Amino acid sequence: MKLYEYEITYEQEVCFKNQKSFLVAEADENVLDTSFCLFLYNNQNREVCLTSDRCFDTIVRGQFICFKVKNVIAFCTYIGSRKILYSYKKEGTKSLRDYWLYHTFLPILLTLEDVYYVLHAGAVEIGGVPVLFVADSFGGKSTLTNFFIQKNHCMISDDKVATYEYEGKIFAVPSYPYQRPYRQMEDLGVYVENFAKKSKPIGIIFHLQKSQPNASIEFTPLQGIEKFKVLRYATDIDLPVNQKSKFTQLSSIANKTKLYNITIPWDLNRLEEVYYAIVQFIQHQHKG
Amino acid sequence: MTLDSKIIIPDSLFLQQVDDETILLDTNTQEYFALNELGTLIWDVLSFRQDLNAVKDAVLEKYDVDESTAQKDILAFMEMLLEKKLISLG
Repeated sequence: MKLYEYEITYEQEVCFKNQKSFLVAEADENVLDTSFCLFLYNNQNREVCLTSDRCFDTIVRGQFICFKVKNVIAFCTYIGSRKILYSYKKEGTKSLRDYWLYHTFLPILLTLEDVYYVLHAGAVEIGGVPVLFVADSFGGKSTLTNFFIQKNHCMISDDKVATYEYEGKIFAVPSYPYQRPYRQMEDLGVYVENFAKKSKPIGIIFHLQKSQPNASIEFTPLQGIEKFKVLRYATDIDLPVNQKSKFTQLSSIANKTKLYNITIPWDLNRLEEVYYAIVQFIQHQHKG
Repeated sequence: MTLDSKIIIPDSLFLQQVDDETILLDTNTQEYFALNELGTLIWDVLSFRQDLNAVKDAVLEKYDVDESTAQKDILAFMEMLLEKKLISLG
């Protein structure tokens, strides 16, 4: 299975010519010294932390990282090794392993390794071009992403959009082929057949803003610090790690992508109207 | 504070340009600030030379203002940075 453009193989070592792969295998918990610890918050009502044998200010190749979900699972790796070992705790199951690996540990690891900058966003393709939706919590990202998927648009991600810069453009990376159109803890959701095959340059990012049910749908371009603030708030992996690099990456995303506020009338009966407004807006942008 | 004060800029501050605006990030507090055009010029000069007299020369070269106004604006900006603990005095 491909997650965030990396081939994931379980238990058996397979050599690929292209080193974009991870081997994930069960092992006894590592007893290395992990004096350095970062606690993570807002994590599905679980106690979650990152530990390491070195400080987190600057991550180096070969540094030992352990990601622990209390009573569930621990993932361990050396930065750059492309091997992840896991050990179950008393409540650990295969589905929980997959959830915490796909949804949380892999994006954290790829962020620590400076491979990607991850946004908390829904993303679909419209006319073959990645379009992202960012919003406050309960701001409608998942509902709108789900609506586009139901309309047969290819899904890039339901929740986390990894990004990277290449040749002056910001690319959106397909995350994992599951979508959760309901709120349930530690659940990847339903399998999505129509899942993006490869990374592509981002077309537009929409910042969803709730408005009155009978309000009109309006698009307003954002610039400068207002744009930066929206993207800063949408940053998914917000750790005190490699901070200068993260600031540079975020500023680059802000400079190289178009970001629009879109007012969303808070009425599910008007969701179809919002859908067509967005599609027409994108078509108009392409013609322009 | 005067133009002869020694300014200390901590390593925790980073600057980036986004569109036409300059954003200053304090990684200690995670606060960020937008700098206007004058603030950006002052910061650019300070980053290379922590010398407010050099800043004054740069402002006078770029803007059509008298020396007294330039000095007043520079010191007002620096007092703001000091109040927000973005700089300290040596």
